[in-house]
Formats: sequence, structure tokens, C-alpha cells
Amino acid sequence: MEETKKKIKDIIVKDLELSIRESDINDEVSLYDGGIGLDSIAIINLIVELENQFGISFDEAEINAKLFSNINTLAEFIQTKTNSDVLK
Amino acid sequence: MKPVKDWFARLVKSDGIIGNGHFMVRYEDLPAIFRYWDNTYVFNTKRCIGLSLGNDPLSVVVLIYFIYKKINGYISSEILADKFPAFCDQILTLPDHLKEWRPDQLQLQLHDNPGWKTLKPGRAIKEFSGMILSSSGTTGKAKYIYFKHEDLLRNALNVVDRFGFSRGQRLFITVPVTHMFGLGVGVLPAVLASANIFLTGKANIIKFLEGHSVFTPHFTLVSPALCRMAITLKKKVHSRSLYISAGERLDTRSYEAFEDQFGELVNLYGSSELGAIATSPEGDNNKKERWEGALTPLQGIDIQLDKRYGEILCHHPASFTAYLDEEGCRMERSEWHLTKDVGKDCEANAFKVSGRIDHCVNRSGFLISLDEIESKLKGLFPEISGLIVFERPGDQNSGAEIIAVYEKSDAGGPSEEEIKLRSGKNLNKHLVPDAVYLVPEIKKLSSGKPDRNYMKQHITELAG
Repeated sequence: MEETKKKIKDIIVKDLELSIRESDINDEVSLYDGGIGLDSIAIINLIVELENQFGISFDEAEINAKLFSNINTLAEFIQTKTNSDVLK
Repeated sequence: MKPVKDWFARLVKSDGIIGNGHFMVRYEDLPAIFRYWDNTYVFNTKRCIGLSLGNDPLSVVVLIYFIYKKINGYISSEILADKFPAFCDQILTLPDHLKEWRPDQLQLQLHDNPGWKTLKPGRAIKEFSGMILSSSGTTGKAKYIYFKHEDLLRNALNVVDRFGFSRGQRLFITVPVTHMFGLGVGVLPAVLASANIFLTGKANIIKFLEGHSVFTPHFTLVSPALCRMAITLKKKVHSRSLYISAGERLDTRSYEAFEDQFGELVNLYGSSELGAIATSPEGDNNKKERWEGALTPLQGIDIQLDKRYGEILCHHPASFTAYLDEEGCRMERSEWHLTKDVGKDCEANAFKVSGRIDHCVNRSGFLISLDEIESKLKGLFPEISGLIVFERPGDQNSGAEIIAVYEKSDAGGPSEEEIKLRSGKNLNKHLVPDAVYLVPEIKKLSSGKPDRNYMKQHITELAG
């Protein structure tokens, strides 16, 4: 799980080219409203990068505010998704 | 246009709701809420209350209350709520958190507008019964637009008829309800039809997709910016929603891509002064016309083009009544409203919009719309979050130069050279910008629109 969280933070800091340090991203802070404040374009790029780098595809119905509410929920979801893909 | 009768009685008998995923109001609860407000607050109908509203169910309930009770209200977004015109004697704000509430105890917050005390009471306001919206236009100077309550409702009924909203259907509103699009095409038509309303504020792609999954709307009001973002994600949504967009029109390529991924998208042409004016045609048989910007006026609305510049003139039977000044005094208006948009291909029952009249330039004998160039560039580069196009005087031989300015996105984006190259390959030569500048940020007016005048004056220093 920690590895997944680290990779998500790497994507936010490096691939989205945000002016933010990895140490600033708390696992429980909101990714957009009232949190680290990813703007609309950055959110789209985050989804695309997560799909590319974890080799997963979000179903439209899976994309919701709760999932993207913080690093913890996102990491948990990705972990489950990658595990279920491996089983297939 | 038909008069609107007995709408509130029909609404409260329906089992519809207004919700946003966190808070919900049932239409059947409205009589109890309104009784409590009638007994608790004194709203002087000869004056005007400033309403500080957000995109939430309670804000919509306040709007319904003011329109039903025929109280004068000035509608403002809570983001701009520190600035109320002098004709508002009081300001109404809503409680921040409503975890537990009862319809018969739903409290509002009212306080005096300090600006009002120093000025005379608005002379025209006391003769009115309506709502006032502000429109900053492109200059940043606010204009106050007074609409009679009954005309807002007649306008909304026209939208109900045009789209066929009906009881029990679901309408997803991702645009501000404090603007005419969200209010006049979303909230009020839904209320007249007793349709359910689902709202989201500060819309982004996550909220957009989540709203679809949770609410499965029949109709979705979207901004062109959200449409572009949705295209970028390349997800297909299996939805039966009809999407309605207003404001700048998407270019043909983006329009086609959006419909392929999400479903039919109708472009609505309207304004704060006139409400809904025209829409693009629906149906598979009309795809080409829709994507190319054809518009058909709603019932009872007449369109003409001014012979000299091609400006669109509109005669609307349920339009605004007057512009007001800061003190609430009436300013004159003409019967045929000058929209400040340039039109083309105007026939008996159809027309197209080229762009704003003050955004047109003569280039090699062609009247070129800067809005059209802007729209086409945004279509070519959907990853760019902010882009504007303006003219700059050139030398005597070349005439005006077309300048494109875009802002750096957090996630990078194309270089200036790449934009020049790809626009040269993909656009008609009259539409290709002479120069492209990347700036850290495009300055905005308080309305959120780009401050074109500022950018035009400071582009050299901003582009460094």
C-alpha cells in the first residue's frame, strides 16, 4: 500500500509538474476542493497518468468524489483494481 | 408566449426533489419552509434584497421563494458577495452547514447593506416586482438587468416547451444558478415542469461523472469548458442525457468528439437580458447543422440582422424590462435588443452566430471573428486551460495583427511554435494568428471572464 501511495504522490509532483513537494501531500488531505487544490485540468491529467502508470482503466462509474478525496482512498482502490486484474 | 399559472400548486404536489448529494429539499416541504419565512422575516416588496447564493439546494429554494412571493431580489454569487449595489437595502446569506434541519425552522441570515444607507432609496425599484441580475460584459463595468418575475417564468416555460421537460425527469445543473443559463434554462424550467434538480458547484470532471452515475439525468447543463475537459479524458458515458451548453460554441471537431463520447449536445444561444433565445436542432438528422452552429429561435422570438454590420437584433416577448443604475433608477432600452453579436446565414427560421461585434476585425477584406479563432484554437489544443485572441494594430500594409495568448497549465502544454505550426496546418489562412504568446496567467475580471483590455495593453511585458 505504501508503495502505491508513494507512486501516486510521485505522479502528482513530477508528472503534473505542480509547485508542490511530496512531503506537502498528506495521505488524508483532499486532492482538490479545500485540499492540495488540483485544478480541473490537473485532475484530468492525474486520471490519465494513474491509468498509464498503474496499467488500469477507471470505469466512468468508478470516478467519484469519494475515490479522489485523498491519497488513502485512491491507493486502496488502485491496489484492489490491480490485484483483481492480476487474478484475471 | 403563454402566461404561467398555478405552477407552485403543481410543484408542491409533486414528489420531486432538489439535491446535491449532501443536502436535499423535497418540493412538498416548500409550503412549510415558506410559512416559516413568512412568519419570521419581513421582506419589504417595495425594496430589494441582495441574495448571496451558491449552487446548492437551499439557494434554489430561496430563488423559488422570491419569485413565488414576488419579492425584489438582486441575485449574486456568494463568491462576489462583498459587493452589493446601493439599491439593495438588505443582504440575505445562507447558513454554512445544515446537518439537521426542519422545514418549519429553516433559518436565513439577514443584515443591512451599508452602501444602501448613504444613498436615496432606488426610485424605480419600488414600482417593480422582479429579479435583478448583473452582467459585467467584457468591460468589467457591471450592468444591472431587471426582469419581471412573470417574464422570467414565461421565458422558462418556453424552455420547458422547447426541450420537453416533464414531471419526474431529472435535470443535472453543473453551471451557476446565479447566472441566466443556470437559472433560466435550468432551475426555473425544472420547477415549472416539477422535474428533479441535482446541483454541483465548482464543476470538474469528477463531479460531472459522479453526477451522471448517481443521478442518471435526462438533461445536463454544461459549460463549454467542461465539455472540452470531458473530451480530453476520452471516456465514453453510456447516458441517455441530452446535454445543453451555452456561451461560446464548441468548434465542429470538439462538438463531434463530445457527442461521440457522451451523447447529443444542444447549443443554447441566450443572454442575461433576454434569457433563452435559440437552440441548435436536435436529432441524428440534424447533426451537421448542429455541429456547424445553426440555431433556431424559440417560440415567439424574432431575429434580424442589422444591415450595416450584421449585428443580431432580437425581439423577445419575455425579455428584461430595463437596465438599472447603481441607485436602482431605470435606464432606457429599445424594443429590438442589440445583442452585440454578429450573425450570418439568417433565414426564415435559422441563423448562426459568428462572434461578438467588438471582437471582429477586417483582414484582407474578410470580416473575421476573433471568437471564432479562439474557439477553433481551443478545439485544436484542448489541453490549454486559458486562451484568448485579440487584435493589435499592425503596419499600414498588413493591417491589424491577430494575437493569441495562452496561459501555462500546471500540466504543461504546447509551445508557442507548436501552436503556430499546427494552426497554420489546420486553419484557414485568415484565421491563423500572427503571433502567439505564452503567459504565466491571463488576468481575469471579477466576473471570471478574461480581462482582454489589460492583456492587450501588457502583453509584451507579460510574455517577457
